[in-house]
Amino acid sequence: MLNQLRTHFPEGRHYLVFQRHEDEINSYFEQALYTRFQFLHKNELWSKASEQLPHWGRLIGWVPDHFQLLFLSESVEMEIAEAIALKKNQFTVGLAEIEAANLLLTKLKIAHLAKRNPFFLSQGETKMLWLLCQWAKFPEHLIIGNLPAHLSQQRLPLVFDFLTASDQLAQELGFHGPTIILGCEHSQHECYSPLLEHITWEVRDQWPLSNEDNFSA
Amino acid sequence: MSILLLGISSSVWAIAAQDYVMPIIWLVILLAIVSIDNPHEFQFFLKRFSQIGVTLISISLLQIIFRRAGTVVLAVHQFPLVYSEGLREAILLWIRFMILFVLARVFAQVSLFHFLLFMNKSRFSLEMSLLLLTTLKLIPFIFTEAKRALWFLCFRGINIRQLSLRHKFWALKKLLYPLLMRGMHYTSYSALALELRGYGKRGAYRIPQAYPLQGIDWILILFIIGVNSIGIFQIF
Repeated sequence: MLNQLRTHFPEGRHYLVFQRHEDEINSYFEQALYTRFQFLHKNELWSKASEQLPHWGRLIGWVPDHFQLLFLSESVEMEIAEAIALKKNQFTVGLAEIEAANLLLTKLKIAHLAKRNPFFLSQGETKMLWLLCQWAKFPEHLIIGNLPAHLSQQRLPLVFDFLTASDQLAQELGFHGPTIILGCEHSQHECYSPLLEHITWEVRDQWPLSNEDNFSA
Repeated sequence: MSILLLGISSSVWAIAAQDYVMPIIWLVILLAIVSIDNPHEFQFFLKRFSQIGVTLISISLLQIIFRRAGTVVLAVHQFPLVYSEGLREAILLWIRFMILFVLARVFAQVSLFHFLLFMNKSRFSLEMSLLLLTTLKLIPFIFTEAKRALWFLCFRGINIRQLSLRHKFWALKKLLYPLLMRGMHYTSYSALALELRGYGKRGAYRIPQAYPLQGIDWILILFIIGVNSIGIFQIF
């Protein structure tokens, strides 16, 4: 899967992909990343197959739509700070990571949520937090299957601004920005026009990967 | 009712019997019920049971090594290794665990609503019935949420196999927090569901739905009585 992503979506640009229906890309990644890793036996927790998910997790960021998200920290800023710390191979969060987390929250204009418990956020806030956490992993590819879902008209331009400035922001933090892949339906293409004004965005007519592909790292 | 009688009979014989005959008979009966009910699940059940095989083998070996009573079954260079009492207890241990496993599987096939009906018809209070069943329902929920939390932890890029012991402990702590939050969320909804089902209603309440014994239940009850009679006759 990683090789196919690198082949079809090489780095250096960001991609807007037209999908046949709003769940095409999310269904693909739910099957590839979630369903096949639901461990049935405790032996599988310690098997070689279990190493594939962390490896993919470091290289792929995914923002799903109809998916119950789970957070592991007590506050929004800690959740993002831990993602940044893990990128640096640290298990403890320092002041630098917390400052970086607050910078990201400010860029997305949700700094007022910094101390909130992630379990008590609204659906839109949860999605924005998850987006930040996935972005803060600085993966090779960041996939967002259906960006406008659960986001209000006020929040969508904020996310567009964030994605547009993604590379610059990543450089400020000392990392390489991810290759962003956005899924879009043909009926929704107008709302993505602010993104397409930037030359780093490329449009693709269809999603090239399918669930029949052999998932290999 | 019939399944409860089956469980009680097989458990009593498994624990109290001093020979192999009755426990093996009950084990065969239970395995036959599981395989007839769902043949595909039977293979899955055997696979699940094999996962505790290593533990059972260890305990069996301890029984064989340390129970040195009865006749000598195996001696090496005239040194007695295995005694009949130790071997009997080791075999009975396997049979008892298998019976327990199969019984758990059989009980797990009964829907919670039928459990509630049974307890209501048996004159258990509605409050106790609902609390017990809600607690039982919480167990698979915790397992499901723990698996989900583990997925989220791995998707952060954390390879648990490669962590040091200290960091494995850190990973375990990280899993507890979402379990706690989701558990509280689940129990708050469960409390609402209990209220809607009459929890806290004063006085006895009988669910109007009938829950009579079916033909198959009568056959099973008669069969259980017959097997128990044979076992008791055999003892005396």
